[in-house]
Amino acid sequence: MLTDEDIIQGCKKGDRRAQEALFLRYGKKMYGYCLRYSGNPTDANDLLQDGFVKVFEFIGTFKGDSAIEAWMTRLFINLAISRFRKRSTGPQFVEVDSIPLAEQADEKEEVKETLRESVDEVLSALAALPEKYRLVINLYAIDKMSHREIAEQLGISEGGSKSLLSRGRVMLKELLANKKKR
Amino acid sequence: MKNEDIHTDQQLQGLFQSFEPPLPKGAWEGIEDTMNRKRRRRIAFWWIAAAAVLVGCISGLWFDLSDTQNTHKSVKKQETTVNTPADSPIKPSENAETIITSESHSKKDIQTGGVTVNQIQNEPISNNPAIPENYEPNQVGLEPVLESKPGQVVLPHPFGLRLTPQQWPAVNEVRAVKIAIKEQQKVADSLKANMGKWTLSAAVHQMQTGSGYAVNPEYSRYVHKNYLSRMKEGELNMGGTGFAIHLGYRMNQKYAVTLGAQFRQLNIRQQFNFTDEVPVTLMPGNTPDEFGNYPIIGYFGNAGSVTYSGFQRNTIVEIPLGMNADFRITSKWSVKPAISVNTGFVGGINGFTLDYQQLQITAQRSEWFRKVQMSGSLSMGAFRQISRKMQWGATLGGTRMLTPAYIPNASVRPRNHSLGIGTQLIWRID
Repeated sequence: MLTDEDIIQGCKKGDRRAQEALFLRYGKKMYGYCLRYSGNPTDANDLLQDGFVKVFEFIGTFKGDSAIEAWMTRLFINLAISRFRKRSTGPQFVEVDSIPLAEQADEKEEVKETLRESVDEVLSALAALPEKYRLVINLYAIDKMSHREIAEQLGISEGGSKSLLSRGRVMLKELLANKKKR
Repeated sequence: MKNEDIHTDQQLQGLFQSFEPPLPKGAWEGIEDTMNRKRRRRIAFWWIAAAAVLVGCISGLWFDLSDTQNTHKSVKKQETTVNTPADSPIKPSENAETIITSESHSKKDIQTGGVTVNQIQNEPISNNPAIPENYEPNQVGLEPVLESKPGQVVLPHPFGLRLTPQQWPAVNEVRAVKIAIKEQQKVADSLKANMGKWTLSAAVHQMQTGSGYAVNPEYSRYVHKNYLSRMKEGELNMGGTGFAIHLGYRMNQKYAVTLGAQFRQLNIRQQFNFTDEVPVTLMPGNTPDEFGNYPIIGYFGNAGSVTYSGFQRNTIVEIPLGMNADFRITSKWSVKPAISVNTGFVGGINGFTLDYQQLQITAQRSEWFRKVQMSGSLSMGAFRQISRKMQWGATLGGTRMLTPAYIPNASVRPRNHSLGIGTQLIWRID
C-alpha cells in the first residue's frame, strides 16, 4: 500500500501510476466538491478533470506543510471560483436586492426538518440555485471561508458576500421546503 | 449571525463532510488524454522554438555573409578609384567610368544637379548660380587648385575630374562609405586583437536520446525472446535537458582546449500493455548474469497482463575535456566545431523499466549502472559576436556512449547515443 508521501513523490516525477493512485485515492472526495460547486454532473466532471490536470502540473509546488487533501481542496475551490469569474459579468453582483426575502420567517421549523434530508436532495437544491448564491453558500457555509476571503476571491465587497449568503440561504431553504411538500 | 443560520451551516457541513460520490466513467482516461495532449503541445512548442532559433541563426548568417560580400566588392572598386585629396596624390590616368560602374555610386550620383561630367570639367565657377559668392573651398578641407584658370575652381579628384562644389556631396559620400568600411575593418581587427586566451561559456541543450536496447551476444539466452520488441513498442519518447559550463584556453587564433562540468538528463517515457509467455530458466550448471538471472530454456503459458505508464529519468554529471575551433566567417559571425570526451558520474536513477527476463515492470536500480561512464560528443555551432567580450550561438550536436551504461556482463545494453540542439554564451574573461 503506497503512502501519500510515496504517491506525491511519484507524481512529482511525473509517474503516471502514482498520478492514477492519487486520483483513485482522492478523486471521489474532489468529485464531491465539484458536484457541489458545479451544479450538474457534466460540469462537475469537467471541473474534476481540469482540477486533476492542474494538481499534476503544480504538485511540484506542494511543500508538504499541509495535508495533500487540504491542498487539493484549495486548488479545486480556486478553480471553481476562477471558472465562475470567467463566466460571470460584473452586474450579476449588483442584483442582490432584487431577490425576495418574504416567506423566510415562517419556515424555520420546516427547514430544520428538510436539512435532515439526504445529500442528494440538498445537492439538487444547491444545483437549482443561481451560480453566485451556490458559490457563496458553498464557500461560507460548507467550506468555512470568511466573508473577507470570499470578497477578495470574487472581487466583491464583504457586504455583497453577506447579502449573497443571506439571500442564498433563504432560496435554499425555500427549495428544500418545496421538495419536502412535494 | 443567527443561531439558526449557524445550525443550518453545521448541518450542511456535516452532510457533506464524508460526501464521496462515485467517480464518473472515463474521468481518468479524460485526465490522461488532456495531459498527453498538453505534453505533446509543450514538446511541439519547444521544438518549433528551437527550430525557429536555428533558422534565425542560419538566415542571419546567410544575410550577414551576403552583405559582407557585396560590401567587399564595392570597397574593392572604390579603393582603386577614390582617393581623397588629403590621403594621396591624384591619379589623372584613372577616368570617370570606373566610379560610374561602382555599385554604390552610379553615373547619376556624379551628375548631381543635372550636370554632366564634361560640363563639370569645363564649366566656369562664375556661371554656376548654386555657388555662393563668398564660397571658400578650403572650408570643407579640400585643396581648391590644381589646374586653375581664371574664374574657375578645379578640385583635386582621383578620377581626373574637375568637380564644382555641386558635385562634392557625391565625393563626400564616397569618402563616408570608405571611412565606414575602414571603421568596420578596425572593429574586426580589434576583435581579433582582443580575443583573449581564456574564455568561460555556459550552455543549455535539449537532447533527444536514441531509442532501443541491444542484447549482449554472450548473454542472449538470458533475455526474454520478446524483450527487444516489447521495449520498442513501449518506449514512446525520449528527451532530456542539459546544462554545461566550460573553461576554455586558446592555443592560437583558431583552436582552444576546454574543460567543464556538465549536467545531463535522459528522460524516457514508457507505456507497456501486453501479455506474454513466462520464461523457464535453468539454474543447475549455469552461472547467473550480473543481474542474477539464469539462462532461459523455454517458455510456457501466458503470464498476467503487464500495464504500465511511467517516466524514467537518469541524471549524469560529466566532466567534458575537449577542443574547439573558431572559424571566423565575418567580423561578427563564426562557425565553431567542437569535440569532447566526457567522464560521467551517474546521479539520480528514477522510474521503472521492463525486466529483460521476466517481462515485468521493475524499479530501476542504480546498481545496474556503471558508476563512471565515458562518452564522446561532437557539435557544430554558429556564433555571433554580441559584444567585445561575448559570443552567443546555437549548436547542433550528438553524444555517444563510449562505455556501456550498464555494469559489465549485463545481458542487455541500453541506448547509447543522443542528438540535440542547444544554445551557448561565451565570455572572454582575460
